[in-house]
Amino acid sequence: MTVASAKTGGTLPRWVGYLTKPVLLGLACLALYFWVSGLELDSIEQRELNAANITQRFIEHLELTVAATVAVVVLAVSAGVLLTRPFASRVSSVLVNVANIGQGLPSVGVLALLAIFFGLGFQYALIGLIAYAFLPVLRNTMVGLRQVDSSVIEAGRGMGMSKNAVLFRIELPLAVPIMLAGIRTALVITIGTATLATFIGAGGLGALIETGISLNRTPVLVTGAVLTSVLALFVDWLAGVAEDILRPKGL
Amino acid sequence: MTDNGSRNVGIAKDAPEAMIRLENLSMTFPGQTESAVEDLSMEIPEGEIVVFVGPSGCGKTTTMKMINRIIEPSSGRIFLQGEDVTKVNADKLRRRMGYVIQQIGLFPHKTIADNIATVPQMLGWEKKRVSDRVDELLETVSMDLSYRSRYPKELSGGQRQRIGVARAMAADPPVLLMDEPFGAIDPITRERLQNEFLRLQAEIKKTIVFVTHDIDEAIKMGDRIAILQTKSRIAQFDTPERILTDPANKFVEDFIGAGASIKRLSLSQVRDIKTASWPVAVLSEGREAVRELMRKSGKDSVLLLDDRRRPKRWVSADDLAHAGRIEEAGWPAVSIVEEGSSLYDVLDTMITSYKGSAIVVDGEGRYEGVVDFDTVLGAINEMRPLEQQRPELAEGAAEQRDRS
Amino acid sequence: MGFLRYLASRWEHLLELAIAHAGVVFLSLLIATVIGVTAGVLVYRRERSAEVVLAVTSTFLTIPSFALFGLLLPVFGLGWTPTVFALVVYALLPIVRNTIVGLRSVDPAITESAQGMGMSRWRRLFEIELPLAWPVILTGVRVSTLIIVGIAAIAAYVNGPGLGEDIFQGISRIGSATALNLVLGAVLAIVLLALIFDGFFALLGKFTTSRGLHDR
Repeated sequence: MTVASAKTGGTLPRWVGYLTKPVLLGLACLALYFWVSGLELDSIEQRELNAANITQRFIEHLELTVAATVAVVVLAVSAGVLLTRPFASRVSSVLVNVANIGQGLPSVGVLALLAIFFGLGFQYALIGLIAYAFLPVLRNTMVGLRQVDSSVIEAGRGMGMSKNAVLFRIELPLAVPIMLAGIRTALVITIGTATLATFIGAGGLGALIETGISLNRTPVLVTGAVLTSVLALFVDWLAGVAEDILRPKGL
Repeated sequence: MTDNGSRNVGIAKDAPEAMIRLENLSMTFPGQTESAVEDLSMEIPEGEIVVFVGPSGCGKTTTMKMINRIIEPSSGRIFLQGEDVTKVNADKLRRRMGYVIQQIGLFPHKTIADNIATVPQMLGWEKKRVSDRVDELLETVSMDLSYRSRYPKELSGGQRQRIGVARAMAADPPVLLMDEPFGAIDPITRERLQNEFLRLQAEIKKTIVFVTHDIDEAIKMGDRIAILQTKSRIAQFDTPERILTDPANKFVEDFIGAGASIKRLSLSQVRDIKTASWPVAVLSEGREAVRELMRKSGKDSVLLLDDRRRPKRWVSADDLAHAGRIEEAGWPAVSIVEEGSSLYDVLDTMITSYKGSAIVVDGEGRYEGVVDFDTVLGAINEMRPLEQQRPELAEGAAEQRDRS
Repeated sequence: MGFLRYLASRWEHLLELAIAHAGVVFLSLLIATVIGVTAGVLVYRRERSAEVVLAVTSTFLTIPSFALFGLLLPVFGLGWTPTVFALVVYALLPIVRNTIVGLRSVDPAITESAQGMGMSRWRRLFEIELPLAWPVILTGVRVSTLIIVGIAAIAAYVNGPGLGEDIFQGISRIGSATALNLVLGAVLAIVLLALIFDGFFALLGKFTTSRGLHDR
């Protein structure tokens, strides 16, 4: 995912460029709000489109996303570190290929399978989200760690650093940008997949979209879709800013 | 000589028709305050190799690239064969000129044959003609025809360079532009390629503009050299001989560097100077005849030749007296140079020779004469006629050099 | 019903869905490749425009697919049209990005010598730059394919074609015996399709890349 350009005219400070996206998103929300308030809503629509319901869906969505992302990051990054150690080299290349094909897995399919095996509800949706986002983040971490210049590692070992020291003091810091990108990817993927969590009873903003489609209520549908998109774009923007701030200087 | 003064002009007197004429060319890159090339005017004579040489950043490559308008001039005009080509369609113009750059830029996804055939195909030649031309060019650059179907990645640096030259000549353009074409190659291959290229040019007589930063390459390759200072200001535009013997200013002197006189020697050949003669005798004539010759000549040694008049041995009177067979007397004659050798090579040979001299032979190896250090020194002295004969001129020239 | 017995009895239906699924993916890829490569060609030499194009297409990829399908519903209705539209939008970023990266990675000495020989802009683009960037562009198309093979499953909710139909049927029947078979069959078929597409592009790459460019 590319970071929004921070290039503005020569006289404006850099951080102004960062504000374009959130401002646009804010405008989109305002437009949505004014549009909906100007409509005559029937009872179903009113039931869906009130502050309480929307907020609840929002929170459900965020809970799923945050919990899944944290779990995925912890699991995938550790796995990534382990699998890039020399002892795992044969397994790791096979795994990277599998991870590549794994992108073709349908997210809704994974969720559905989990629901069938285990049941409906928050925890199983969570597992599904973790399972689905695991491979992409794993792949990113592995690719990133492999890219760390082997001559830099050699220099470190030559200076007498132990393997662990090299890992923690050289490899990981240099691979940070790749891993940050991986975290960002995990967030975006998870928010997207969480939209489908509604199908297995875990709520979230997808519920609005689902209701809107199945009951043929356009306002509900549009509200759900716009809010979901705004949330995803906002989180992506936030992650991008974090990426820029946390990137080690000199890279 | 250079017609300089305050204008930046390079016109060769006593030169053939100008194939390319540059008129008041200037180039300032966008966003820069200083120009890269300032008001350059020059005539490139037909059939000659003109070398642009100068320090990094003097604008020599920029100037050359303005000739085929890879870089468009900010102002000024370019004439090719008398025609003003400053504003014509650039693509069509470039198909009339060959272009070779340092990294060559062969197309990796095309075979060697397709690479060479690029311009002829663009010009619409029929297949057979193109194919014949490819074969012809491969032979010209001394490469086996089997390379037609190979790919650039299979070739060495020197081979790629040859193909680059072949590709540039494919449509037989009258002009070749070459930007440090031998720069990225090892010195041994480079020398070989330079020699081959000079042999080729002797046959095809193209008009060539050659850019290099190496003054030795410029002296070796150029019929005429333009020494450029910053902004492509022409310090001197002249034949290599005149530049070496008569540098126009301190910049040129410094650029030539130490050893200018030695460099000068590489431009003259043995056949250009007066050789001395030495008593020679043919081996088969026998000892007595040789002794007789030595006595009559008054020299203390004689050069013995074989029946085909090829030099074999040096013998002194002493050697004759003491040696057994005449074929083993004295020592073998090894310091032999051909008429076509440069004086530089002669000096090189003489340093390790018997008596500090070298034997000159013709193309068949037959004795012509001898040269020694005195002979060569005499030749060097004759090369600086102005300064030798008119010492007050020499003073004036030295003053001017100090001022500029 | 055991899964294998299920497959044996329903394989024609699965095949039909798979063909539709492959069809909509292929069509979307075609359109996305045309649009994406054209966009890449237009902007790769301009820093600013390239950034804008990349930012826009990456925004598309950030929007959750279900939300996008939802938004397209009022505009395009149900069925093939919103599906193809959404899939094209999702396939754009990898193709555009790889076109730009691939074109920019062509050795400038090669383009300069081509220019010096009098090749026009168009000729240089089609005979030199695109062929040299092709392997990278093809990789972008491969990545896009994998992405949209998965997303196409969601299209079934707006009556789009493909194997997603079985997945949503299975979801609606969760708790019954047929649910697992439906979903599993569809998911495996989708994974199989992904592998087939990937293999197809790997072969395509081998055959369309000049021998001069293959690694030794």
